[in-house]
Amino acid sequence: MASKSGIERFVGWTALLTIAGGSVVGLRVVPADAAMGDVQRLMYVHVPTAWLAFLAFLLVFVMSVLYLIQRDPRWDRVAASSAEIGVVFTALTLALGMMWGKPTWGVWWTWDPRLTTTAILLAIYVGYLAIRGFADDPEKRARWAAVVGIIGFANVPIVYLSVVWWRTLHQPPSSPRSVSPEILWTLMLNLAAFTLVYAYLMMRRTRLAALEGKLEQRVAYHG
Amino acid sequence: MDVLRRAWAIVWKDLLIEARTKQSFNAMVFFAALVLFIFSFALGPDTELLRRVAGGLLWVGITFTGVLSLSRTYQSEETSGGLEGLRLYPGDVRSIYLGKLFGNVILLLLVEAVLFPAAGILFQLELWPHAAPLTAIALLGTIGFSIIGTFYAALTVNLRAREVMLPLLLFPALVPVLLGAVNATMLVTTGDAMGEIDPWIRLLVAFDVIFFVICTWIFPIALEE
Amino acid sequence: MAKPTLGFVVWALALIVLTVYATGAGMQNRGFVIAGYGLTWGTLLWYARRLDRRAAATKGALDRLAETSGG
Repeated sequence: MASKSGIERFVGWTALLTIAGGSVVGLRVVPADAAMGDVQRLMYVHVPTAWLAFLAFLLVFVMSVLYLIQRDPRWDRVAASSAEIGVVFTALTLALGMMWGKPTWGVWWTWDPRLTTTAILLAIYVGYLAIRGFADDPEKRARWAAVVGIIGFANVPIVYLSVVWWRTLHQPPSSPRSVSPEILWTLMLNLAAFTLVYAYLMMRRTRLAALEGKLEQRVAYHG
Repeated sequence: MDVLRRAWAIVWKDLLIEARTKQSFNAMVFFAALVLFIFSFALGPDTELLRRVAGGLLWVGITFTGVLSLSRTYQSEETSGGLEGLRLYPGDVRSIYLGKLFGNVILLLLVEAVLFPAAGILFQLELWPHAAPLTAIALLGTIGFSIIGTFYAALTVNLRAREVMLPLLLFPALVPVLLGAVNATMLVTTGDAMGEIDPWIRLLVAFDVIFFVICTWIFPIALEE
Repeated sequence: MAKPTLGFVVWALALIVLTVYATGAGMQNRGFVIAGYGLTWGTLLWYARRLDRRAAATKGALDRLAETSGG
């Protein structure tokens, strides 16, 4: 359990290669978008990080529910790992969104529904991680975190809807643009790449969580 | 129902304590009015601007005031250790949540009963003709606020940094309530020429129902030893 | 664990990609695009390294605990 498994190594290297490949294609091979120009290439990293952030928090929700039902500390460790990685991806999504926004709209921040919801998502899961820091007893920590994780995730669709209403009542939503197949394929490639990265990080993070759990147990036992 | 009867007993007890001392109520009203005042200074003397954003300012004031009083929700049961007193209550623990929830709603509504007219005066709004819709919005928003607030207050009652954790957990979760209440209030106070208020009311109702179910359901887990 | 070597490989790849990109004809808003991709790689690398350091620290603590209490 303490050492890297072959699978982990394999996923790691595959992730690395796919990210490199995806970036090469995204930056050089695929032509720039006709309307948006080269800034559109940021979408190849921004969309995957956003998607993975959401996926990570979905997993937090599922693991939280599982933990409350079965009280198996493994589920809690997976939840905590996914939340931490999710926060990293969410912060990255926000930063990339701003980097795309500045040349496109001229401003760093707009109250665009997705950007705003992402910021709120970040706040929700920072809260999740914060409350974990305040419980010394592992069982209580897992319980509190699970509860916050469930409420937090249940709120996400409601928050999104409410922000969309808030914005569209003041301005019409941007109409969806059709994308060329090359852009779509590049996006898919990068999506796969980032998913592999997430999987790899999850494997490492849960391994770390198990290790830290063991340390916690030993410390408690030896006083 | 037994649960409701016990919940009502808790409400009654807390309200009696509050009625005797009026400690929380007075402080909350004063604090809320102060918040409105400070916002007026921050935004400047343009009465037209203030009139337009009055709905938003009102709900920010209510939110800040509410958070302050939330941390004292379980105070009468708190011992030095925590909620042992509460856990000794007979019967379903959910009755505690419901009781505290009702108590918080009632207290906050009483504060709002003073605050709305005060805002009307400060921001030069004619609120009385809209009393019915405003009451409905206040009710929905306050209930939504208290549902999440009462729940997280139980979670953070023991924490060393409760003052920071409660708002940190609460504010992102309250975004739909705030958006719904603020927009609905602003639409009412500015006449709602285009009848846009409907989605906001539906949002408030949906939020209240969904989280009432969720929070009531998982409350025992928050209180577990 | 061969962390420095891995990092070197990653950064080498990143630099190659960036160089290939930078020599591409007339890219608009190049700064933002480079910054965005660089930030992404950098963040992921930083996080992976953070996991490494924490794992090493925890292992160290466990070993010390095993020594002092005789396993």
